[in-house]
Formats: sequence, structure tokens, C-alpha cells
Amino acid sequence: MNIFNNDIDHLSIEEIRAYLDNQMSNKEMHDFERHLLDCELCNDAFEGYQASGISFENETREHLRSIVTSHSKTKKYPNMAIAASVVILLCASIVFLFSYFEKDSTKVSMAEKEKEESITAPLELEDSVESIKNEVIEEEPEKTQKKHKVSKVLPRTEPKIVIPQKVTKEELSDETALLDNSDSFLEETVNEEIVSDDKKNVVSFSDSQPEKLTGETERFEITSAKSRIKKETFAQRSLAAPLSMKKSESSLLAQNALPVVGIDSYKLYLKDSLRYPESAKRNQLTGQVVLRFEVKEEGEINDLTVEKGLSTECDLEAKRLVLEGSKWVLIDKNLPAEKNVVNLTVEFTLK
Amino acid sequence: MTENEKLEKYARTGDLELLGQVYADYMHLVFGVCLKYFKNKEDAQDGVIQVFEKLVVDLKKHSVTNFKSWLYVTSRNFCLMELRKKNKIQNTSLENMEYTLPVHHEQEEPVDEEGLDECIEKLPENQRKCIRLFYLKELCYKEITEILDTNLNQVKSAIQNGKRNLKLCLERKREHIQ
Repeated sequence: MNIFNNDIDHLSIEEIRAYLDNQMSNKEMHDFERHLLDCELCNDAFEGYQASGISFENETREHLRSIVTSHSKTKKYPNMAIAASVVILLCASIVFLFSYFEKDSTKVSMAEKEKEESITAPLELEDSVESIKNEVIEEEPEKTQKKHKVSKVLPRTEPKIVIPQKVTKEELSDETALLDNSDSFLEETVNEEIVSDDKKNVVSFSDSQPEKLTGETERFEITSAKSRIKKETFAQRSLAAPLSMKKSESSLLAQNALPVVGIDSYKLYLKDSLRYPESAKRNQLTGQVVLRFEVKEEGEINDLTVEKGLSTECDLEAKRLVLEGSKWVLIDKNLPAEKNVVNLTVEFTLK
Repeated sequence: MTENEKLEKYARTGDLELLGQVYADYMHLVFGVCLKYFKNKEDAQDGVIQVFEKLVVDLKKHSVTNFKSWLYVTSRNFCLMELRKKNKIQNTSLENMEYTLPVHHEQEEPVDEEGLDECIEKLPENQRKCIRLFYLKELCYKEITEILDTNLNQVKSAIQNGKRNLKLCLERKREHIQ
């Protein structure tokens, strides 16, 4: 007896029609029903036809087919347009970069002058750093977004880092040297910014609120993985973050993998689909199950283990949620396997 | 070229003709899924086209091993999103959204026959009867309703639930052995 195998690929419209019109033999009907049990796509489609009484006429089929295939012809031109606009953008950015370097070299030398003149006035120095930063923001809007996130988050996660003023100076002079070296320029700008922000943090003791650490850290991990800037530092920090971050919400920690549906949807899924085991409910058992698994290249979950269990039933339920849940996707497929490990905390709370 | 090869080539080259070819075989199913939610022909037609547009984008970004499951989730989510947009259903909350991808049948581990029999024994009577008549005797729903003197929906849900229970039972067994 073969209950879980499904040999048929998918049902044809003719088969669906024949079934609905009662034109099948009992054996054919059995095969048809059996396929519906295994295949959600066919099952929903069948239910749609059955409930609405609308059929998929040849006319409709031809109409759609022509749209889908003509689509493939007209779309080739937009592709060319995209290619052309990429070329134009490239040219524009080269022009931009050139003009930027000219402007910037004057700015930096001014900043250096100011620095020499007023060693006792760090605030002014900061201003000049600020103005350089603004310059960068104008030039590269896309990069800036990432940087914004980085700078927003970093002071909170490591508020105690004290970077001596000297470093800033070095960075600044580095910057002048770097003007000839456009490749590493962007990366260095980010460095400089982090430093300047940290410094600000030290000077003004700005908002270092440990309670807020939680939510921020999660966002921060995704940003870090995506932006791929200073990956190592980020990795270390995210490892140092606590496993369970919010009081009663499941959390996940991953450096290089995301659920296909997105983190928020995934959390919602964990919350909504959790079937509280009866035994745990009876015993008023609450707590967390921490799972650990590896995401493979195709997004499959591998090596699912319980890091910290609660009870056999709860552990099983947590595993079920992960196994039946969304597929995962690797952000960077070229990283070593140990980076693709996800730590996932599933919360069991009773209302 | 097989379906997966076509999709893989599409992801590499962006050749929409290949994707169109693959999609053409499934249009009637996407149409049906849309019918289930929209209940009218025009919206369903529109849905078939819009789901295709989604695939055009998504299949370039993700490599898909099980196209059918992917297509199902995409179509369903599309329909639910549309309904929510149009406010046809007031309470289409996120709960109805589909997050799970169906299990990949080709990766299914071989079922151990003895364990299966044991699990069938443990099923509630109604489910056990239906499962046996359906999978063992290979009867169709209609025949089973006649034999058991019940209605179609009850047979259907008994088989669905029975199947789910069997699966859980077998999984437990497997874990037990490990």
C-alpha cells in the first residue's frame, strides 16, 4: 500500500472536466481523488472549478497563452532599456566620482587645517567630519541607507567602546591618502563613520538604553549580513547577543540565512501555528525551546537539533513548526557552512 | 528539456519564452485557484497573468526545486493579498496566509510497511475504515459513501485526517528508532 507517493505530475483541464461531469470510471475517480489529497495546487484549483461552476474554456486558454507568450517577446525590449540605463548610470557615476574627489580633497585639507588650529576644540573637528559625511550621503543614496542603519545601531550595541581621539585623526589622514585609491574608498568611509559615531557617543553619552537592545539587535544582524561591510565584527557581535531577545516572542539568530517569507511573517507564523501540547498545557509548562539547524544551499533545513529543550512534546512541536514552516534562503551562498547555522527560539507561553 | 532545466535556464538567461512554456501547462490550475478565491472569470484571468508576472521576477532571484509547490504558494498568496486589497473579505488576516511549502514527495523516506499497518490500527474507527477502503481497495469516494452509508464530505475529511494522523504516527516511530 502506497499512501504517500504521488506519481501523477498534475491534473489536466480535461481530467478536471471529466470528473466534474461524472464521466470517469470508479478507478479513474479514485486516482483523481488520490492526487487531490497529495497536491494542494490541483486540489485548490479543482475546488475553484467545482464551487464556481465556471470552466476554463479554450477561448480563455488561447487568450491567456497569447498574453503569456507575447509577454515574452515584448519584454525583450525593456531588457535592452535596462541595459542602456545601466550604462548611462555607470557613466554618470564616473563623472560624479571625479567631481566628488576634487571637491572632497579641498574639504579634507580644510578639515586638517582646522584640526591643527584647534586641537582643544573637538566639537569643531566633529563638525567637519559631519560635513564630509553629508557629502557622502548626497553622492551615494543607496549606500547611505545601509550606513544609516549601521550608525544607528552600533552605538547601542556597544555603547562602552571608547575610541581615543587619535584614531579619528588617523582615520582622517588615512582618508587623504585614500583619495588616490578609489577601490577601498567606500569601505573606509564607513569605518570613519563608525568611529565618528562612537566618538560622539562617548562625548555626549547619547542614548545607550540597554532595554532597547533587543529589537535593535535583530534588525542589525540582517543589515550586517546584507551590507557585508565589516562582516567579522558584526558576526562577533551577533554571537554575543543573548539568545532570547523579547520577553514572550520567538526569536531567531542567523548570520547568513533568512526565511523566504521574511522575518516578521515567520515570527507571526511561529506564534499563530503553534499547537500547545496538551500535556504541557495541563502542567502549565511554559518556557523556550532553542533549536539549531543549518540551511543548505537550496534553502532546505538540515541537521535540526534541540539546543535547549522544554519537554518532549514541546520539543517535537517546535521541530514541527520549523519543518513545516517556510523555506529558508541563504544571503550569501559562498560563505562556509558554519555561517549558515540558525539558532531559533520558540516561545511557549500560556495566556 | 525538462521543466526544471527550463526554469534553471530561465534563471540564468532570463529567456521568458522558456518560462512561458512551463507556465502554459499550469495556467488552468492557477485559473482554478483564482476561481476559488475570486469566484469570477475576469478576476481569475487577471490573476493568471499577474501570477506569471510575479514568477518572472521571483524565479530569477530564487532557484526553485519544486516548481509546483512554489507556484501554489505564490498563487494562493496573490489571491489572498488581492482580496485583502479589495476588502471583499473583512477579516482576511495574516493567519490565512500560507507559509508552509508542501512536503516534497520525491524526498519522502520509504515507508516501512509494518509500521504503517500498526499506525492504521491505531486510527479511530471511521478513519481506519475509510483509509482501508480508499488506499487498499482503491475505491473512489462515491463507492465508499455507498458502502459506509454516509456522505461525501465525511468520507473526504476522514481520509484527509486519517492520512495526516498516519503521517504523524510514522514520524514518531521514525524518531523513536533514531
